[in-house]
Amino acid sequence: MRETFSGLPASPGIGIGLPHVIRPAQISPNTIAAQEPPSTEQNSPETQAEQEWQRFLHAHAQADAELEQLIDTSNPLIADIFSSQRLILHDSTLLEAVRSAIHEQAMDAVAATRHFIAEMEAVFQCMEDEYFASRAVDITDVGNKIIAQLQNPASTKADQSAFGIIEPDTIVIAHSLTPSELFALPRDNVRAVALVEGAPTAHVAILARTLEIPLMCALDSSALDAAEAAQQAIVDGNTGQLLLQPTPEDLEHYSNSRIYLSQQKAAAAQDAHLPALTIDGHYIPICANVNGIHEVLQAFEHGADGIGLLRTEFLYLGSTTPPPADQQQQTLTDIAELCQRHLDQRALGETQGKGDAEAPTEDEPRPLPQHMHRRRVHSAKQSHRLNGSMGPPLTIRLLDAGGDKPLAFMQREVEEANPFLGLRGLRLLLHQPELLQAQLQAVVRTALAGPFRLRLMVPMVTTLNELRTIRTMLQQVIESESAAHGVEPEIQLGVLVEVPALALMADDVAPEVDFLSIGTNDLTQYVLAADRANSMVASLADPLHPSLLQLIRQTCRAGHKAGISISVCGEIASDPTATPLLIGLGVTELSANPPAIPLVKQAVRHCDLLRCRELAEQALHCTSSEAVRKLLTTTQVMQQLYPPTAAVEPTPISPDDSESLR
Amino acid sequence: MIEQENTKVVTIRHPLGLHLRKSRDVVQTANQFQSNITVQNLSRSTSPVDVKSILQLMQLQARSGHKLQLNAAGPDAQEALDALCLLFESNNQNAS
Repeated sequence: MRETFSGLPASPGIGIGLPHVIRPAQISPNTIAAQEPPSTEQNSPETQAEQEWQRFLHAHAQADAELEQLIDTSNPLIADIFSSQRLILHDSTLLEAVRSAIHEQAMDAVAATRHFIAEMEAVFQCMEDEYFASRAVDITDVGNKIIAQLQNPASTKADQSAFGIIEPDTIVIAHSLTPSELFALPRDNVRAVALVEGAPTAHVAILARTLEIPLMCALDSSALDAAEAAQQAIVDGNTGQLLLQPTPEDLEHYSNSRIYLSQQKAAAAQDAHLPALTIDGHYIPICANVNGIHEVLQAFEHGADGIGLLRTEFLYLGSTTPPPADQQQQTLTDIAELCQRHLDQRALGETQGKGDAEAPTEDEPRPLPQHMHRRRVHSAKQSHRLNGSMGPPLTIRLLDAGGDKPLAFMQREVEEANPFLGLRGLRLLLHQPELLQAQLQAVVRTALAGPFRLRLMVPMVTTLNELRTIRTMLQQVIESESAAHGVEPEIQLGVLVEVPALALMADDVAPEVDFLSIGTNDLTQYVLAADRANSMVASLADPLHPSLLQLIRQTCRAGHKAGISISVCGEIASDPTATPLLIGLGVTELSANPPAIPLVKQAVRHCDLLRCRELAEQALHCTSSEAVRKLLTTTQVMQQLYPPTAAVEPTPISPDDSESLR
Repeated sequence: MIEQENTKVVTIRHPLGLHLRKSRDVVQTANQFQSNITVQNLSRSTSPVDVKSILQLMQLQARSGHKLQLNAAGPDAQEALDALCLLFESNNQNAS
């Protein structure tokens, strides 16, 4: 019987295949008793200890094989993590400690392993350096692999781990999966995953998106039973649907959809270098978040309209003393030059290809001037503000370091119990004025060197006083630096809105800045009081929670009143399904991760400003982030960018709502 | 073969310090030598630990700029120290 289950979309794409249900706690401690009879009593303690040691070595070898398999099948970055874990597994300290616990303290293999992990966890967790303290996780992970093997020696083949055989073309349906469990699944065989637990913001979802495995979550748990009886399943990761026992029509529909998706992706890549205009002609610059000069190149290859966020921490890494202004200026000037060159070429409609190395091609009809003409007609105010350029060429963020992001040369005076609420971002810079002074000098000199139009973004501003202080300092540096040049540099000063207080004060902040950029990642953590790196509470930290949407709208309204641009540079800006909502809330620019730019641009092209505003109104009236995510599945962008969902019953929202969005 | 004992002090150059991947490379290199090799973090005044154990190595909590003292005893002590110093002081962010 055909059955559909609705959940939440967590990783885009469509998977069709054989359902494979993974039940929770397939590894049960009781299985040892059944498979490994306890040593008989007549055995001497020595023999018993030797048996336990052999049992440990056997489990150890299996855990090793499991890690080896993971290393072979992973991309280099992730393989690195597993190969370090493998070294921990073979560590002489571990082997010696377990051997001695078994032989001298008469522990069994499981207890000895647990004992060692607990001991190591205690040592590492007491370390003062957070990086090393957090490596306790890797030790625990290794220990758990050995214990799993000890308790379930039946699972001899590493690639099947505890999940049974995963056939080709499988849809995995599970209660929950950890990132390493998802990773351990044979990727070539898994077409999609559906989970009862999990959230679009969870680590497992992020990994699924990286691996390009379609994923839906928040599935009703009754789906597990239903799936066990089913012969075929479809997961739609774009809308968050699981379809069991699909009809031939469903199958045809979804196969077509899959093709449609890959075509959309190709089309987006082709148009990546064109500006993104909404249906009604509003130009939305799609910029890039970057970490250094290599990523600047990557950003322009993906069609970025500018750099919306240059993180400057890379300038400080690797040095044991604060880098002097001149050294910083050299790198910043290189980057500014690169940006200017790319954007100038783009403005002339010359670059159709992938960068400055390629000669302009002549066979294209040069659609750019036409688009730019449309922009002038429909959005004169914006084009005026952009001053003929495609977007803000380069936005430099002041050093954003702190207890949570330490720098080598910075001696922490006091260990902060709460680094996220401590001396970070601008607070640290004001505390160490010589650092701030050097960076302001570097930025001003860069602006003078071009001359380049720059934006300077200040992180972690909490009060208006802080903002005024930094403006005064910048003005002083400008005056002293430009005296020799005889010209004043063009530097716009703006704030990264990430402290809720600043968003709430947006009406007072906006008239005093040249632009606003909303840092939704930190803002989300501060508003919802949840750390997104902590898996226990990560699902709370959803940037689409209506409380965040209220703050974004409030900030945008203040920005509009002041006539300045409002950008979003958090993770959410890289999600094309959220694009109409952000535009509807009043955001005028987006800054995304470079690879996400083509699809975000494509999303903009399917937006209609009026409809986006209606959508935003509806979202603001939602009472949960789940409801907002559901609502987003009904947008024009979803209809156009993602395949039509006609074969599935529409998601349960009121008919009026869905009508107005189509 | 002649037993030698050698000591050398190195400064960590990698911006991330002696992090997991870097430690892994150090352990793998150390294991190619027969000598007993210990290391202590002078900047944190730790006691010497076995370079061939990643778990002990990470307990040094060595950060960029920290000074480490290496001590090797055995037939290939000098070679071991030379190889390890190179690795400790290298700042290749892609390779390690």
